[in-house]
Amino acid sequence: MNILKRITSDTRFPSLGLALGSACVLGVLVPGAVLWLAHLHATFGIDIHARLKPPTFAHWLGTDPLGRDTLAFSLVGAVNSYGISYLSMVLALGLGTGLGVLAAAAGQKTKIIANGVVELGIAFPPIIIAALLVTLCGAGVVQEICALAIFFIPGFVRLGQQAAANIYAQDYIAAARLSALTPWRILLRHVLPNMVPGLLVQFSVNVALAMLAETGLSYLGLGAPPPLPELGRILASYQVHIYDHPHLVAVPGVVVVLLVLGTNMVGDGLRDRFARQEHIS
Amino acid sequence: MQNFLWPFRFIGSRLVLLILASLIIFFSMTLLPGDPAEVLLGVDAQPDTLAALHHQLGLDQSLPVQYWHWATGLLHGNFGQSYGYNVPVWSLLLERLQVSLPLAGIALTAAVTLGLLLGVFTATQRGTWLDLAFMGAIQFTKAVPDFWLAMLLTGFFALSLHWFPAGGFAGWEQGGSAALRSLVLPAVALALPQAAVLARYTRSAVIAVLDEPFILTARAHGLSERQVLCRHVLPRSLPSVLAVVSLQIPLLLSGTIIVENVFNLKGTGALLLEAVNQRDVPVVQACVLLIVAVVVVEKGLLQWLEMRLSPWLASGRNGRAA
Repeated sequence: MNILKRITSDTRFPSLGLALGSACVLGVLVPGAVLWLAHLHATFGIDIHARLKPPTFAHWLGTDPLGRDTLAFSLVGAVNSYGISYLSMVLALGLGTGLGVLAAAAGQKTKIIANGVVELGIAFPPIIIAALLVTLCGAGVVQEICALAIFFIPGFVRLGQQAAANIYAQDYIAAARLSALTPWRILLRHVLPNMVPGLLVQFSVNVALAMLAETGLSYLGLGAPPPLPELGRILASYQVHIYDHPHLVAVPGVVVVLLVLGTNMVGDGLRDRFARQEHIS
Repeated sequence: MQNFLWPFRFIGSRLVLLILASLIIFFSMTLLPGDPAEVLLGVDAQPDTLAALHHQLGLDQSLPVQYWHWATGLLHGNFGQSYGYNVPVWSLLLERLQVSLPLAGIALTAAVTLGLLLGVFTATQRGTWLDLAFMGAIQFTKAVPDFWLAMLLTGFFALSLHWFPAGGFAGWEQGGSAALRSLVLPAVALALPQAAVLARYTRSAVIAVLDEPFILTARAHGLSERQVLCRHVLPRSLPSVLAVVSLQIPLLLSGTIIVENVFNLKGTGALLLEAVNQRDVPVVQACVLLIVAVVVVEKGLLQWLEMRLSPWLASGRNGRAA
């Protein structure tokens, strides 16, 4: 029943996708995190004499139009972008699933409200939410996280509601009710733990989607304001060099692809693994 | 009785959604700090000029009255006056939609066609090397941000090969071909990642149907693979594919805004971004409401189509009301 044990338990086929996906994500994030910590107190130095240099031993992928190390700058941007996507999904998971489970556990009225939230929320694409928030409060990290979270909440509400409703219909819940467990105890001990696999899969798939949306927002300038490096804005600033220095555009883009691809593969791997365990047990 | 009332309930729920969305859009903008009249006239405007502009913009009335005027104006096709351009918002929208509408339309058509074909093809080739290769390519394409793809396409097809213009829009006045040429690369950049997502869902939907017992029966009756696919598999898997398409359209509209920016196309997306930067509230409201309305209507239409195409759902307990 222990969720960690279920993920790590040795099945006959070690999941290739899970391993490859984690390698992609960690391969970007671990060096990125080291560099991120190194640059925590100092912003990236601008060295105009060293601008647009070809790859050297000191700068593996050369320098950018402002003389910064292209690779290091992209990796730090990746940590920021991934962190923002991840935080927004944690927020969406908490709020969305909470509302969904409440709707499944409570009566018809909550269900109608939850449905309304879902239908209304789905109608606003992420860029629209960000545009409204930025018009209102200006650009910022908090606004960006909220915009992403608001867009993904409806999906979690729907999933939480369906999963919880399925579990509440099971016999063991009836048995738990007959043994006079309180509704809260049933929710915490029997319903929530059984929802974790489905939520975990949805979470990782959504982190990948949020990452794509986040780069889009920061590309348009609807993300965090300038000193904070973000992959979308880095790409926007390198865009003019697509003809003379195409590798500048390639580096941050490949970093985005690695993160999204890796996260998707982890999600798919988890789904396969949980499906197989359902099948075995 | 339930079936008879269903269309009214369905349309009614869509209308309620639109009204709620318009309330959110209108009242969130009124939270904006600062006085629009002061922004328009500058800080040292005379009090009586300010008061006159307040009256002209209707800002001297209470908020519910302002909303009522705005909403009834919308119904008459009056979207208000742009603060930045000082022209009616609808004329701006009309001009910009000439770019965005064809772009979104072409991209959607391409994404759905390509996604369906690839999905059905890979499903029929399940387990072969060809399937594996395509699935790998699809998994990769799913992870590519549309604006980055747009940059790469410009670099290769526009700047190196000179096949297509690198940006800007030729306009419809000089004939359709020049205008369409300037939309090809943006449409491809938008369509490919969405096609990959759709192809994956289509593949799973088709495979799920292929594993059903009635397909075995159809084959046992001696139907050819083609007949099995066209008569039994596709009609059965299409509704769930449509559900995915309806979820993709908001993302496609988001993508249009971004990709218009990459190619410097003066579409609705560009208009929205300008308006956000200039705090041109009437234009922001109109653009946002337009996009939200398109999503609400599109969702309604596709849900209805999904119902029509899946009689086994309607014959269930009481169908799937909105």
